[in-house]
Amino acid sequence: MLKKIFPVLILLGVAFLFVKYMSASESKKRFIKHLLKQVQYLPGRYFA
Amino acid sequence: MADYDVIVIGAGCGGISAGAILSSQGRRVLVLEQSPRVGGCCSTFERDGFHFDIGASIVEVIYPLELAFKMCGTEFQREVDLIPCDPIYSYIFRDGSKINYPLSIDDTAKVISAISEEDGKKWYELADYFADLMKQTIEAFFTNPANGFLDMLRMVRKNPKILKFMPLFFTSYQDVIEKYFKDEVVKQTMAFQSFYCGLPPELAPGFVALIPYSEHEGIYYPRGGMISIPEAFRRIGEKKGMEVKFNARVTRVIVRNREACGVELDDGTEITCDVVVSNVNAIKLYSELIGFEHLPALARFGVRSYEPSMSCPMVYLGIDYRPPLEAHHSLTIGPLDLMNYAWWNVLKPGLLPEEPFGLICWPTESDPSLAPEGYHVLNVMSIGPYQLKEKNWDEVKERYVENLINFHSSFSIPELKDHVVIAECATPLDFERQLLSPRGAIYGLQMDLPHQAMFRPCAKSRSIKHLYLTGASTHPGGGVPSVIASGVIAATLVDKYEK
Repeated sequence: MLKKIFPVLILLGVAFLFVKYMSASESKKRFIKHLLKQVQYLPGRYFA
Repeated sequence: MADYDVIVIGAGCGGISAGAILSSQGRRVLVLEQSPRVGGCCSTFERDGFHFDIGASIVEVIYPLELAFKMCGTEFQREVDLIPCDPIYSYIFRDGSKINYPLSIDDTAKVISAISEEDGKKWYELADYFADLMKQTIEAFFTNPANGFLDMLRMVRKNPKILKFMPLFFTSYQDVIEKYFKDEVVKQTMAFQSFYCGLPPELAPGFVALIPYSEHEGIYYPRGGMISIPEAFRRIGEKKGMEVKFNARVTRVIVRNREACGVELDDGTEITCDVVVSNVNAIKLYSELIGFEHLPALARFGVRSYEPSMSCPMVYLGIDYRPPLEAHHSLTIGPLDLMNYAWWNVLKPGLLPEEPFGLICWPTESDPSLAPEGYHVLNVMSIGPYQLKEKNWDEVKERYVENLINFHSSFSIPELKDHVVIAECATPLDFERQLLSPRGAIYGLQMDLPHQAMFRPCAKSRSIKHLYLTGASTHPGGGVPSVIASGVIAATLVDKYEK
């Protein structure tokens, strides 16, 4: 049962975050973009 | 046996404080400084009887300084004569009107209430919230290592209450300011401080909104100029046997089998040691002084991804009249949206702002001995890019100084242009050359969330044994108290791991 619900919950979560992002102000979007574009570097920075 | 127990590269506030603490522990410490003076950004130089502060202009949040001096066996207030600054800011608007914020929370509330009664009440809410944040985090976060998840867990275990401030890490400075204040003028007076972490209000993390409050816990100017603070560490360290060599530029950290064991100077001299403490910007340290060949692949990727913080041009003025200013610090600012606009549309494309808004420091208001009698000193800091779109800073320097003097003469410091007797300028390019800071970065690295705590270069290097980092490019970041906190952290880690 949990196995079936889990992907749905993930999808709902992603959809919720997407809607939140789309309804955010331009300023907030720039803040989020600024953070997201650096996520790829975090593992390297952690070990630097 | 090595020549020294510890070699500290760089006598900036992080390096000299770490050196003084380590020599107080009985270690044989050598500090190598490439310039002729201590302090780095927190230093003072003299021209024709005028004493100009290179960058840092005041000190606030003095807990890390008190701790560092205590670890040296003395007291901050005994070693440095601190002059309290009140009012803490005078905001000067384009029409020449001024708003002064006094040190007292209550008096500031009165000033804000005169602009907007509702915002006056909200000021108390902001002050209460950030007073709590200061109380809960100053010991747990500022002066403890943040080298990894375990250190972060230790911080939380030490004080679980800090968890309630987590939302501040995922919201912007601007969001915090707009949550509390509605009036545009009040928002302006609270927004500029985001640039103290090198970012515009919409990109700076929410916890930086601590600054408009923390300033009200006290801001101080050290008598004799900002250099008095690193000089005090030097004095104490030398009493304990620490050696400081000036004009000694380190060109290489000697690494064998991923262990730091000494340094090489630009004249070819090699000096050996058991531990290296680097006060050099981490990008420069790993890429030039150590070399990527000594780093694991993941660390190389991490170091390459670091972004230096913003830089700024500084203009140093000696003047022959008492400037019509009302505080040690005056700010010429514009609307909050203009600050964001300037970031994206002026600084990023490499343009110079037509109106060089920024900070005017008037140190002779606090300490008249910094200029000949009847004269004054002004240090003017504005926002400006490192890379200019068309010419370079050396070419535009003179014109920039002239424009800046004319700009301030037009409203913030009337008659200024008729009273300048000496004018000097340090551009981002000069900072890069003089402080060896990549892109002239004044706060080491960016201070946004992906460059914070465990994502900032580790105080105890993960890649090279016996190598420790201090300074603005490591945790907790830029600014005099943070950098001295990094000196405390480096010294504490050396004491713990290098018996």
